[in-house]
Amino acid sequence: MNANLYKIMRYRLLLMGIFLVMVSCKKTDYKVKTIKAELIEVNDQLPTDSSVVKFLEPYKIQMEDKINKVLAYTPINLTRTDGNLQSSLGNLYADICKIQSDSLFRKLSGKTIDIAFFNYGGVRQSIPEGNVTVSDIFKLMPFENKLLVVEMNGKKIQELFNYFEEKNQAHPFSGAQITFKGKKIKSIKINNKAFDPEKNYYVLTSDYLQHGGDHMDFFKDPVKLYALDYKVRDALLDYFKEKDTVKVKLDQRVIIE
Amino acid sequence: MKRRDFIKKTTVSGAFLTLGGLSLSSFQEEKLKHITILHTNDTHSHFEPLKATNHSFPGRGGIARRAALVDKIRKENPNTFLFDAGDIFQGTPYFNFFGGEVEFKLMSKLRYDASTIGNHDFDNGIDGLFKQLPHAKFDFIIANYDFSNTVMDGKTSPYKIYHKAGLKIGVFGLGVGLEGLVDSGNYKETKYLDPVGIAQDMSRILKEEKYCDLVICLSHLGYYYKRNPDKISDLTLAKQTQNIDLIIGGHTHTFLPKPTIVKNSAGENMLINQVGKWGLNLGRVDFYFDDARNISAKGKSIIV
Repeated sequence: MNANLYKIMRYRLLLMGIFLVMVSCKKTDYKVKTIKAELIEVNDQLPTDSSVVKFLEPYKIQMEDKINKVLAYTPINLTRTDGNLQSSLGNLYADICKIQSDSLFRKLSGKTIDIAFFNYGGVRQSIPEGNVTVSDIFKLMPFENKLLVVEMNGKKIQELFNYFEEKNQAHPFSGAQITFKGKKIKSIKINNKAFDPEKNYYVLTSDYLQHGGDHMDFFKDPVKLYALDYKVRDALLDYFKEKDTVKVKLDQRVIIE
Repeated sequence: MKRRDFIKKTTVSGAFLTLGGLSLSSFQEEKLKHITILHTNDTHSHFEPLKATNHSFPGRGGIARRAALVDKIRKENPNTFLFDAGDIFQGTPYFNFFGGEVEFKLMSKLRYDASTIGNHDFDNGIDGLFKQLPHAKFDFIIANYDFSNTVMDGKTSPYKIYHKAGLKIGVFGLGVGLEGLVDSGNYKETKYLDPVGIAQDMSRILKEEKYCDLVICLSHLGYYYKRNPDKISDLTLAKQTQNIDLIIGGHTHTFLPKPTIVKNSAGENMLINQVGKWGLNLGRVDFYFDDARNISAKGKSIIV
């Protein structure tokens, strides 16, 4: 190849090259070519952003101050497993909710609460002997469930006790006395009177359970619902604030013959 | 075609030889556009690392670590997004005492781009959520909640289009059915709309009308319900829709070791990811874009 021809070829190639570079760099349609993914574990191998720690600090101090506040004292361990179809903590839980809601409900409806009924699973954590702090109450009741009163006919009330019998579990309740013969319910008293299946009753529970939680279907389609707009946790906190020493024991609400 | 390819190759290398400074590889890298998507879900008011004595995840999590991590990735690629898939609220006393203020302020500090809304974000009622909005400097994106008769009206968007690296990133949000999950007194007159129909509409608008290069769905529907497989979930939604590149999921607290690749209704591969809960993990998905003409018929490669 002679040198002149080579120079021309080279020049032409250069021009074409520049042209092609310009064309292919022009803004155009973009499509995903490659996707890479990675799960990054957040652990102590990572550095911390000190400005975030600093930002959180005043909230943390305030929060810990509130959460560590001592409300009352319990001379015994409060647990949900220390009785037969009842428990110290479950009894306390149901009794407190009933006591705290009573005047609210009376104001709202002019009626009184007959029974309080909750779920065993809702009693989330024991309270150890000693000082009871706000933190203990949050662990006992971490959810925002609100209290409500369900007006139920006698048939539905019977279903409630059937549920209690069938589940054979210490679902917390207050206001009733259930006598068992073996695993079967023999008799039921509500407010110290024999249960009357022809009568309507007012049952305190949480919105979670009334809306079908733990398959407490007897709470569905009630005669009437009364929302108290009062959280279960607030009821517990309000009660403990007023108490110096918590007194609770297993009692005769469940009798097993 | 083959001849033209040959010419293109020769001429480009000719130009390379002649111009010297412009190398082929740097030219191609420049041309590949890179978008990084970082995401969390169900952080549930967790800011501090779990205690070293924690039974399941000792010492894990911590928002200050997440902040440093996100910062580092942003420095590597400024074209980075940070999203959340809802359930920001509830889980530690920080929420109970401060009502969500700390959550929103910290997410703003970490420069989250957007979040969708989870069922627990209604835990202090829709008014409780509304009250905290001034603390949030990021978008709330949700397409299947009709808030028109509530205080949240106009405070959320069904979708948002973000511009980064010369690309259009379309993001829409989906929330879980509220009935039976959230007390009706808390969500009030919020109307839940069918997520499948809405997702089909949103992805069509974003891809076909707005010409988005990437379509992301922030979903609080839940990953999949084994005992109730007909219940709408990210997995079932993905199969019934098209034009979604990535679903960032939440609600079921599912720890996916890597994103699930799903064939959508058009037979194309797309991704679903979910990273557990409490900020224990940060999800990362990197999208590399090329000139459409350079993409082979086989399409994209997914390395997970």
